[in-house]
Amino acid sequence: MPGTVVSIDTAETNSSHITSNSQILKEGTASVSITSKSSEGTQKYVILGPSELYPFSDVNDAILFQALELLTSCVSTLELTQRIDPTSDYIGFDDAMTQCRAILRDLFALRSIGDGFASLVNAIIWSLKNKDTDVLSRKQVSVVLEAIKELKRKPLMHFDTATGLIDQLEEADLTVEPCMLDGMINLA
Amino acid sequence: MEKGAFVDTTMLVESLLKTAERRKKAKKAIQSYKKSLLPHYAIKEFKGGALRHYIWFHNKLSETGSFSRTIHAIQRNFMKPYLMGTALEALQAGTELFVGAELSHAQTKAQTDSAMADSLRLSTRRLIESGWRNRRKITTDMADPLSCFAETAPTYNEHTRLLEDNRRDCDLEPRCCLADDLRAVPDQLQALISAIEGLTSPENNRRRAALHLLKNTPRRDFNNGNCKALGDAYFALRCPSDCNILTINVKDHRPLAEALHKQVDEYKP
Repeated sequence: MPGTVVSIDTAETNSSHITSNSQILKEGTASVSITSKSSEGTQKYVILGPSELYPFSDVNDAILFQALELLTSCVSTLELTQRIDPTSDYIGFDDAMTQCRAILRDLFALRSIGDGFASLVNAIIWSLKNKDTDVLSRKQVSVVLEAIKELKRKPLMHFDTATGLIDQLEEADLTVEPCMLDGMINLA
Repeated sequence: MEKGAFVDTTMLVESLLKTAERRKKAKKAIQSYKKSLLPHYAIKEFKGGALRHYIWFHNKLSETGSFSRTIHAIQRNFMKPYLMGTALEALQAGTELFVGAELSHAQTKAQTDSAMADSLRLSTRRLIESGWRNRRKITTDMADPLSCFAETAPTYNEHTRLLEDNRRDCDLEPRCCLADDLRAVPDQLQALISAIEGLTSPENNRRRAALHLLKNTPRRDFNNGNCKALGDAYFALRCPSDCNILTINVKDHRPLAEALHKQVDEYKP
């Protein structure tokens, strides 16, 4: 809010200032109220924590914030990837994809968030793995980016919502599951 | 006239539950026919067979939280010694995909095992739920509805983290809805009995008993178990004259179909 004076109601937050979402969490609070004074008058804002946005979730706020931070990094990395032409800068493209895979691995470690979240991250991980040494097409990068953006918007998405996004990955010719799965479940 | 496809259960499984490339290929094969029919009986077999295996696999991964313990359960109970190669391949992929280099060796092993279990569980759950949702979309039409079969969907229990699908039998009506129609063609039943004469696999023994029951004891109850035992014989009996049976399993279908002057189209995955 440029040009405004912001003060925080510390009685509600027990926090002297806000530097990041995670700091709010460390103080053990869920919501923060902010008073903004400007030439247009005084306005009060309330920043909701994940536990208020998702009141029925069992997910620990810290895990959710960690996921949101990782998803933000993943979006940035994929947006960078989108701007690189692998035919002229393969190393730049592959480096960005390597970072993306590392972030996805960390995201999968947060799979306790829910099966919707976990299944979409899992599908993207396998999509990238199954491309092996092939480069993702522009369309494929775009579909993965949209899926990650959607996950950032709805980290507690339902499994069915995730399935719809996974279907879109498949429509972009990505193989979203481990190929060895067929052999394992062939029980008869 | 170009013949249509009467899609059997192996094709349904291939189109719905296998990994992406195989599913696409199987669907394309079905779509190459101008007319394709999926009998309701194939969904009943699908639900009681392959889908049940997938649900078991999902639930075992969920229960153990361990990839290696699930593999041991499969090896022990389903006699699949070759699975170790596939399992090692999966573990190798899991180590690469899910576990960071910063972990100690002991932690890495445990983490990989748990991560692989979850990864496979999630992929399997998605195949099950998508497969079920798309079951009626792979052919141009459905055929031969079973009024006694409920066709209930598997459901995911958020508390137990298990998939539940206990209603697999025909239970909507006290009597088998197919039995009267099938009993009306005793010559065809006899032709099928003759076609499997001398074949002594458990599957053929059960099929023979079911065919005899239909042909020789018209007043006796034809139950869900008998209906299941018909298996491939159902497809030979009910395939319309303007269709061929489309299947992966030609070996079992062909003698039955030919006994009734019908044809089988083979699909190779």
